[in-house]
Amino acid sequence: MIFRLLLLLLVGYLGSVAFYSRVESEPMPLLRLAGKKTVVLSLWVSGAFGLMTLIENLWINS
Amino acid sequence: MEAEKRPYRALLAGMLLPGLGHLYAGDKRRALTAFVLVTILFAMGVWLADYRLFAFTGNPFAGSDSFLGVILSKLPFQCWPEVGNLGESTLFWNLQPPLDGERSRLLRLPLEYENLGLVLTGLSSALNFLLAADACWLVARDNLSAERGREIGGHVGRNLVAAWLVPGLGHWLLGKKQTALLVGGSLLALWALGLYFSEFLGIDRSQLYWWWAAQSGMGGGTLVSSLAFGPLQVTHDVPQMDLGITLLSVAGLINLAVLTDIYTQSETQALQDAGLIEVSADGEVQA
Repeated sequence: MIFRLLLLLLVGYLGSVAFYSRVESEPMPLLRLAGKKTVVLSLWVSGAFGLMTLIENLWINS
Repeated sequence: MEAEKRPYRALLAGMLLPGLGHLYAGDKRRALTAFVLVTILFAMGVWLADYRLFAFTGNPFAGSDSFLGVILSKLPFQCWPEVGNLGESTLFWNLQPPLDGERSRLLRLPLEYENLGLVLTGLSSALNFLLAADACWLVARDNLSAERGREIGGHVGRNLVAAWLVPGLGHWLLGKKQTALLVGGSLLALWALGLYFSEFLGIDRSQLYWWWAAQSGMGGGTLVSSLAFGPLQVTHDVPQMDLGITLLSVAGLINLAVLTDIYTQSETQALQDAGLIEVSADGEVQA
């Protein structure tokens, strides 16, 4: 699980740096923007996964 | 008075036949270069792969009775990225041997240079699309030059092809060296992760046709990896194959997004150099 989360963060960050070079061309602001986008992206992905796991454990498997 | 040329017509003409867009734009030297380069690579690819580039997808209008359906069934627009060279693809699509029982049997047998042939047709077509975009820019540039009475330079085509071949090189040529290193490094790292997780098996066009079309957004990476690893045999179960293929394809697609940005930035720089616009420190453009 930890490995997958780290991989998600790494891949999300690398992709965000390249993709958001379209809207920010200065290096430091680009790295910060990519960081913010990676956090949002990772929360969407892992948050949905965590929520569904919680629902499964609390109601479906109980 | 001569009618004003339209940039989108140069783009469509270039996609219809290599060099036709540049001919429309009035640049005969680039037209000849584009035609010879793309045509030789494409024809060599078709010959080496024995028309197998058409064997992976079917035309959805094949067998149609309607007039439009018959016309559309003659166009291989389902072949990607060969659609970037639609005229020559259509020519060879209609010249291919009929798919009878014997041909179906032969298609299942391995062919020595199939991988190289498929790489050549695919990448030469993707390159042709970038050259057509260059022709589009030339027409737009000449229109603006005539309107404002100023000479406009610019290297849109060069920057596009450079960024396609080497991720980040487009930014480098635009003088944004730190961004170039970040973009290039990120995309190459994604690419390397993709190769690692797929155990170097995630870039085989004959097995992963549509994924390869997305990967070809990174032309240099696709060329080198396809030639080096495309012929590798899958001899064992690869547990992270899906992840590897996806990462390679995402890297290719993100580079396509970067290419659109390189076009815009090259255009902006050319207009800035000609004194037609001013770009402030925070990136705001003023006419």
